[in-house]
Amino acid sequence: MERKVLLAPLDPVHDIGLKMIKRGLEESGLETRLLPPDTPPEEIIRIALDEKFNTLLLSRTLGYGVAELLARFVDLADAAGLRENVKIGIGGMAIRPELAAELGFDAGFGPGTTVEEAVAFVEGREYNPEETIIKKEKTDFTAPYKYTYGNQTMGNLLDKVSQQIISWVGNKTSPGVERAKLREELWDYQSFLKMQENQEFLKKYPELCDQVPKDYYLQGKIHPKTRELTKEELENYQSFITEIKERMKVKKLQHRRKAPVIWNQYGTGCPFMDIGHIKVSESWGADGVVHFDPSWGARTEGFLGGDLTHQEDGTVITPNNLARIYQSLEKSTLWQVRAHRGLNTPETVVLAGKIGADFTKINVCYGSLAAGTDPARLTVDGFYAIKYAAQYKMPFDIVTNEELTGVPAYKAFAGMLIMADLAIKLGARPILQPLFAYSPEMMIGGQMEDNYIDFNAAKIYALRSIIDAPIWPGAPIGFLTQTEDRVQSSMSTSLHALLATALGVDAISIASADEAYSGGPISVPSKIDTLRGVEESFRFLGNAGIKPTAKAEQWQKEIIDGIEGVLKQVAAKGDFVQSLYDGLLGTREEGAYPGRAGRNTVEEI
Amino acid sequence: MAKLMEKVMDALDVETFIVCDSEDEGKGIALEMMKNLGFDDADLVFIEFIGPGARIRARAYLHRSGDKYGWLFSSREGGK
Amino acid sequence: MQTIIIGIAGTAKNTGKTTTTSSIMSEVKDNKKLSLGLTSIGYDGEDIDNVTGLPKPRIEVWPGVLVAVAEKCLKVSTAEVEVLEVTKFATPLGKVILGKVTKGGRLVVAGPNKSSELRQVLNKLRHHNLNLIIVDGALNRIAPMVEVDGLILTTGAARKSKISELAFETHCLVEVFNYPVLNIEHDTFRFNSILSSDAVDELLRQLETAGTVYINGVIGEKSLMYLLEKAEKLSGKKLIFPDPIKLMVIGDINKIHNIFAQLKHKGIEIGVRKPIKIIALTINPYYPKYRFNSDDYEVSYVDKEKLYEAIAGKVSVNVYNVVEEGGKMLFNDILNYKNNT
Repeated sequence: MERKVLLAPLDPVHDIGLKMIKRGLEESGLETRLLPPDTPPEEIIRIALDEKFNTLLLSRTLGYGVAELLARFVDLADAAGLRENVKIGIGGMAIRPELAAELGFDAGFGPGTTVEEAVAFVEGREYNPEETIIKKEKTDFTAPYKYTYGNQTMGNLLDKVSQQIISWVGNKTSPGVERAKLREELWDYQSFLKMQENQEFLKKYPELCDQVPKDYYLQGKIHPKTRELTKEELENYQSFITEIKERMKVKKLQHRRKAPVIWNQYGTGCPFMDIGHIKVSESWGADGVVHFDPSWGARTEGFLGGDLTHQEDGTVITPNNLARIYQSLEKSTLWQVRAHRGLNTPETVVLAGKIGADFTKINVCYGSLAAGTDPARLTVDGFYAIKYAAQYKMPFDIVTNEELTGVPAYKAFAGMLIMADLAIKLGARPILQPLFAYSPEMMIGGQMEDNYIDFNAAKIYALRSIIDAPIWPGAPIGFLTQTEDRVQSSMSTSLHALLATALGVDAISIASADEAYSGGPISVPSKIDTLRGVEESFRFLGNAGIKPTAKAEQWQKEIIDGIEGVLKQVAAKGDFVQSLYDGLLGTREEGAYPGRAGRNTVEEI
Repeated sequence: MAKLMEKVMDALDVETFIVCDSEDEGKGIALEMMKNLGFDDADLVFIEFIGPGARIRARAYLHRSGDKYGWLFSSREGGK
Repeated sequence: MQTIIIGIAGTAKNTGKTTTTSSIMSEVKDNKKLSLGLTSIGYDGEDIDNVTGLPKPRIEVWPGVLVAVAEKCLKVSTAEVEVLEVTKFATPLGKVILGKVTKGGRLVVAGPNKSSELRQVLNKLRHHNLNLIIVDGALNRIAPMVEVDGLILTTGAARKSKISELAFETHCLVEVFNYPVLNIEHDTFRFNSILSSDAVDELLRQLETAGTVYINGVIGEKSLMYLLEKAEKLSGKKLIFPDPIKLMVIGDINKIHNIFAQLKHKGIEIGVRKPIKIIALTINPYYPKYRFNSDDYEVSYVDKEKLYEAIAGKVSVNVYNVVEEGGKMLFNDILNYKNNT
């Protein structure tokens, strides 16, 4: 049935709201007519009757005597017989459903009314706010990419390096790889939830661990920096999360474009506090959350168990902690568990994959040059971690945080591309993660003296010209541009988000407004600050763009040349691990120190 | 901790402007003020002193990670 | 069983509508033989709960009372109601339900808000063999009250604090309700609502030829003024409206009454097809007096004796101050009215 909507501002002047609704109704295929402001009530009623409209939408700003005026209109419409067939809605500031009921309207539309709401009313459907809660779905933003090389010289060099890595790993293994294998073969998530853990697993696992996890499994001792959550806390948590989940609504920050996906990091140390942070991030529009574990976790062979809380940065990875966090997530929230840098890299991928993570994070170069893990060990572990990531269908980003220590972007990128190529060969879906940062290289070289745009743009242009792969700047964007000033840091994050969006990247990780403060943990209101800022930057930009200066192209070329130079050296050396030790992907002078954790733990089977 | 403060998820920030002669004085006043307000675990996240005084962001953590969080319990005790 | 349906309508906020409703309700409660139905054409929004944003319940109900209210009303009521039927009538506060009070308490009464739906809801209530159905009014609205058998009007100083003005307005109001009942003949010309000068011109043409015209709807205020301006030879003509409420909703009652008086003076007879009787008037001397200096209101009262005398002297129906007198006499008027219909 064709539906006609008559819109009439009862206001002497204002009809903006009705004009917006009119456009929405027309986009939904409805016939509309908007009367000029201040049309007399009897005229409005006559037109509605004569021209057989189905719905009449009025608007009026409330003020002195307006309630009487509106009620009179309703009375006149009723007496004229208009209400037999025509529904009448009223919209305007301060119009609440209760007021609409009092005044006798069929519906009231206050500030924040959506077009869907108005359309539902016109079409006589029951308006169910649940339906209009923004539907968010998880998206695999790596799906559109083919991972083909635009720069074939580079592709050939990478192929050579990857083949060398694959043959070097050969039949090598490590305690980390063995634990991952054990976790993969003997540990089952569903059985864990039923508290029926495999006895064989529990017997063999401690043997592959360092003293601290060993003590936990064999003697029930826990890590000195942690405590176990009490039964009372766990019970209260259940009712807490149940109540929160009932009233959860997720928000979408993207305006017209679908990208980028917004990531927030959590890792307060405590799974409950993390969940508090996650529920806030989701509510204020984060699309995904990243699990951040403590740095000592990366240097310890093996995971602890139990419900552990920790007073310092980073939340301990235990099956209980990860499972509890996973269960707290909204269906639409993407979940990343970082595996990238330590002695538990492959096992993290397996554990996270079994519990339900969507993404992980792996980079052998960063992990061994700037995060303290032995290059040989992490190459073996990284290789298997990538294979598990492929098996569990978890795309992973290749973070290039070694840039923060002073490694030039092109060297970090060379390492990232080696990882990406290896991943493609192993059937995984890698994501490039260049930093959007005011890195030491920039501070010394002066490339960001004029603006933060050109060099970041150059990075994206360079990577795009080399390979067709997803890009996720991070982590977080604007690294080292942010201060403790919450306006400055929110602004900086928002502007970097603006740039990332203009450059068309697939995802971004954003900092909180107190990221630069080192005196205590990140606070929830500070997370909201930047989410709100980023939302506003999306609204501001829409489909418009940002124009870098000519420098961007120049630096793009320099980056590409630099990468090619590094890859040539690594390929010529014919030994990826040795290249790491020898500084081809970052020298000691640049702040890259090959790590020691896990040295001499690689064995031939 | 006062019952109401238990509802604060983690930190409470106080942002204001303090009329003072120097950054040090501003810092001292800000921290003293937080103490007088009854916050023992207080720190200055940010201070910027120019001309007439200092813009500050002082912070008190009401719940740090690993603490027993009031909000985790109060949802039940408060009843609905 | 014959069911009598009475409506309670207030001329303004604070004229004592809820007090009047409650005083009638308490008389019904004392009279164990009477079964009661209760609904409303909206609600008085003056008592919004700040937390829920919903109206606070103010009307006391007891087990056995049948109610027709919007779904959300039940949430904020202390009375418990067993839902017998969820009707298809939607209001901004949810669908109207029919229910039976199972536990006494206070109830928010907001029911169907338009004539057509009130009619159908009243038909549903009628099937439950009730003696009395009360339709509570809504602020500033009266149109759906065409569905009731008799009205109780509440007015008072809150409407107009100058007694003489209030008395005159009340007089006009009651007069409109006293317009004679005129029959529609086979040659009566029928119009729908008259809402433009073109329609008025056509009306005048038909009056000239047919003599009697029935307007099955309303005449707009501007149209009515145009009619008065254009009308000349009206002697012996008849203009019939569906009911007195259609005249009330045109606009300011004094003005409407005056225009009709002038039309009548030109010789035309004005009447209604269906009468709606005012059973009684209740008056309230209270009014909130605006204080300019502090920009707020203070509680004030006009002289209640003077108010009573002024109003009672101007109208042909019984006048009560239920705060002073209680609802017994008013209730007796309802019972007598019932016996007479």
